[in-house]
Amino acid sequence: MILEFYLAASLPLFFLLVFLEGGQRRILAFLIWGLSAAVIAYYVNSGLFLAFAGSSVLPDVTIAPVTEELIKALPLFVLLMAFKHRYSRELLVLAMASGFGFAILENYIYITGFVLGGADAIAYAVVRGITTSVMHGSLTAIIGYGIFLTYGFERRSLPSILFGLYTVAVTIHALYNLLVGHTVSGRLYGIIIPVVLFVLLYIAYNKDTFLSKPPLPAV
Amino acid sequence: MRLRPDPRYGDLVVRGMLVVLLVVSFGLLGDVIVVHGAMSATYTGISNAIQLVASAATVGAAAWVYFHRNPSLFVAHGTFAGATWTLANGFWYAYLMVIGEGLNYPTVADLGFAGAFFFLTAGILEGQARGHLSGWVAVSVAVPLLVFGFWPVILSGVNAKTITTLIMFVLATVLLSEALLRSVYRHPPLFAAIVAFVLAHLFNSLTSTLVNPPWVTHAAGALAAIAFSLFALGFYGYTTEGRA
Repeated sequence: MILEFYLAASLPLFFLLVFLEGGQRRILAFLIWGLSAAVIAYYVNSGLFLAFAGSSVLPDVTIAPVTEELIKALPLFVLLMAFKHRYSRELLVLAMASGFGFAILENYIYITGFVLGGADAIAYAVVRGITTSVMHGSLTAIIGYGIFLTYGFERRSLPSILFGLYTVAVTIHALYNLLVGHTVSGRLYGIIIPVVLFVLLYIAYNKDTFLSKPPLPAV
Repeated sequence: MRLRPDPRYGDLVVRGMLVVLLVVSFGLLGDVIVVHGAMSATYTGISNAIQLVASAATVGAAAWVYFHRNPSLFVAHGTFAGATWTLANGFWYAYLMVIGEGLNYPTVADLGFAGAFFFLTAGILEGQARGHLSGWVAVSVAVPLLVFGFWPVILSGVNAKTITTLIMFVLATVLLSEALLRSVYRHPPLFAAIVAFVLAHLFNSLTSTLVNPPWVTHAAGALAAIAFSLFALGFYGYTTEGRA
């Protein structure tokens, strides 16, 4: 069903893309990439899960974070190569759009997988919407914001920083999946981790506003 | 009249606590030397806890220095390296507690450990000027390390474990070479920390790859604790004395 969901969600957005310009177009393009990334990750993960089926590996903890974070952030790496050092803090928003696009399609799959009815289904959708979805958006945003911070850095150190940021995203994702998927008490952290990450990113994105001193009152 | 405490007092207390952490970490190493073999589960538990405290102390010390004393890029990257490593080790420890068995090498935790190498290397490249040492000094370190890195591949063939170990040796080579060429040795605690950090990860890789690893590889955890205690001390003193 994932391909059908993807086509139903992304095709109308492609039409919208034609009318948008500048920043709006970039954000929507990243959102569509996120949807596409979910499809690619689904097939890659399925193949890898089968390959490791006989082992003691927990695929949701040790495989999915590695593939998903890479695919979600792929256009950021391409942008970095294409535009060299000309990028702004908008990268955080673009990266987050990719992560949210990914989460939207993943939510469709999980919600159809759990045949719940009425209020249970709504509650499940809301919980996923404010936990896993925010986690996906925030983790990709970490990479985007990290790339923005490297403005003016030596070209030699960029691959190191990019890979470092990627490992941060993967490790947090794996920790989240471990706590939410395999523990009972750890689910509380499942709610806390995405919210904390989101608030930190919000502060980082608006730090100029937060840190700037208020103007002196006119005398 | 209220007397304000001397600001140097707080500085002294922090340094004292970090020195205690370093001494405890050396205690872990001493235990490995005394036991001279596989370590007990109790030792592993204590060692993991001390490693986490030491890496968290590095994050705290480096972040504090970055925001209050000197926004050096080396210190900033040190904060990220410590945070990545703490996350990776925290994940490894959480996995052990939740699932009840260790992770198969290589895994997500090793990716996080590799991330710390990347941040440290980038930090040295960004924050340290090129020194006067000849490139041949780096070559003299790189060649034996890379040759040694191929040893598990020759012994056990090409597989995920041996390739990951080889990658760790390459990362270690790059980090040590840049540390030498960019004069990190002018900050003795930081240079010692990098050496201990590299050794800890190479020992850890060899323990997971070789069938009968030498007893000294059991010192990986103790060396990681020593490395991060030294990183914390080194970054904390990065600007107060001009040199760590």
